[in-house]
Amino acid sequence: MKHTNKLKLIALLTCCAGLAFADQNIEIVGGSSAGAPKLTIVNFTGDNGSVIDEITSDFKITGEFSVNNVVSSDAIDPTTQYVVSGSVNNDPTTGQVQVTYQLTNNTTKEVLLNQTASFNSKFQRKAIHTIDNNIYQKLTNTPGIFNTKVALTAKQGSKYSLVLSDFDGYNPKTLLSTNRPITSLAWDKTGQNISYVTYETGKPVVYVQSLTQGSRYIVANFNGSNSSPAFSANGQKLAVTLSKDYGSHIYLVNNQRYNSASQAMPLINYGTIDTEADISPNGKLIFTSDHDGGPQIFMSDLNGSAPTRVTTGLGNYNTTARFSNDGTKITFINRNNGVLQTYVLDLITKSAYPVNMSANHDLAPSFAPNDKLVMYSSDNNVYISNTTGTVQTKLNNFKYGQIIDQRWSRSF
Amino acid sequence: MKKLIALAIAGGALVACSSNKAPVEAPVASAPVVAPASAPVVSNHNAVYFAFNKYDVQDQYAGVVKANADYLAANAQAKVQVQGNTDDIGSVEYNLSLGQKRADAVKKALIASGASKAQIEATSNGKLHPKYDNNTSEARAMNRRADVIYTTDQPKGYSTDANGLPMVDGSVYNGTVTEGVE
Repeated sequence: MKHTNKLKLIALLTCCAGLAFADQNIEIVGGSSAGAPKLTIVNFTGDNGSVIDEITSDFKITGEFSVNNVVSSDAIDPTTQYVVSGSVNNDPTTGQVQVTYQLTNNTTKEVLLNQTASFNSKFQRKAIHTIDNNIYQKLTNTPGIFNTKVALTAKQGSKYSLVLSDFDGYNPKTLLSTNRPITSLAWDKTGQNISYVTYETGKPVVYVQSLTQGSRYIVANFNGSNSSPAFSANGQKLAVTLSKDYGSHIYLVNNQRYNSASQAMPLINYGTIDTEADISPNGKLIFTSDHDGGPQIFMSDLNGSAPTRVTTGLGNYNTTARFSNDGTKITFINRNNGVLQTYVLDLITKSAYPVNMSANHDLAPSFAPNDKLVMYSSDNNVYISNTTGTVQTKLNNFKYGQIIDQRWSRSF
Repeated sequence: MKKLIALAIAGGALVACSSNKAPVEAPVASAPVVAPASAPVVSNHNAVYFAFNKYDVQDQYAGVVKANADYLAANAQAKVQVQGNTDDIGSVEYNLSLGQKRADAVKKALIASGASKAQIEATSNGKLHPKYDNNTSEARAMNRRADVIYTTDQPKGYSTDANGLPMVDGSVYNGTVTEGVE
């Protein structure tokens, strides 16, 4: 009897040890990677599970691979195209960890990568993400996004906060906490500065904050409302929405501390409402305007000339468009029968398609720095979809009450 | 025909008479009288309500506009911030601009009634600062609103709550509300 109990206890401990390392916070909730290249991850020798779980969840999020785990190389499916294997060595006295990993083409048996990473265990997540970036780059010839950042604003109770975290919601840092709303996030191309709007002074005012120095300054505090900033490609100017001349229109301001002599150059005065500007690296501007009645997305040259409607045949409510980093796509929110749904529109082919198939109230979509994924919130949960909408991941680490805005960084 | 809901939210008006002494000499400062649903809006209030998807100041709020414009005209040092608001569904930024249209409309009406432009700043909270929870169509209607908030030389008896909103607006809303979101 005693013996049996002891066995049960051991079984329980083993089970829990396994569970503790499985990342419950990243949940593939929709779609299928069937037909995608098979990527097999073989258990690393010396790993307690934390290393291969991290690798597995990162590659599942991409939607580009059909990922599976096997306990040993004997169990590799012969039809798999790529294999990741390796070993982990921990030194518990120093906390140093050494991970050796190989990426192999399973068809040709060619070793594509054979590298060793050494790091302190407290930096393990970042180190494994770097390994994943190396593997991803080798497989796709595209930089990986596993060490990128996300900015988010939310309301929790009566408090509003601006939070910076890893792309998957880990390592959150609160940059600002106030009793007044914070919204309208934008990143510059360097990833070192963000812009946002707060009501700290009693009305919407646009700030720029340095993430390296922590300092901030007001860039737009004109009479009326100041909102919806977007950095120019070189970061020296910002497009903002101002109401100083009645209505809401888009202006260009210098990226410097606002004073009473600051000037705003008119860019877009097309409807009674022109807002939500975004600037592409190839010199285009997109914005939301009520020029045709309800809100629709328009694109113009950077100086505001030649606005043309981008969202046609997509109902009477399209807002919140954001460029991909290469300027060839936008992601935006479409409202149809009360459902707010994240879309991607290819500016070259003009095709538009939803990327969240279970949408109810989506908001604030933005592209990953490598343009392969889109992040958005839906009923206060954060999701990532691939840009074709075939794979969707729920990021359970983002628990912030009511999410107001979020933006994926534009840099790696 | 879409579902129409007639609203008569007069509950606050009684309290308003005693506690909110109004921007100006108010015709209803003393005797608490239950306002019937059809009563004209009295002049000692600081809120203008808007119909669904509408941005024009309706005639029933002429009294609100006149009372505040008269006070501003008579008190050149007084300043107000007119804050526009919307209900809760849709883009944060687009709703901010919809709220701005409401604030702009009240600002223009105040100027047309004698206030000077320099006394009024029109801003918007959009959907971010709802005074009422947006869980019923009545509450959403109450959030389609612009508040006249005194920042300098407040009228006697004027006070604001913890959220900076006029303590008691006491407004009577007796329009019709179409089901829907902005």
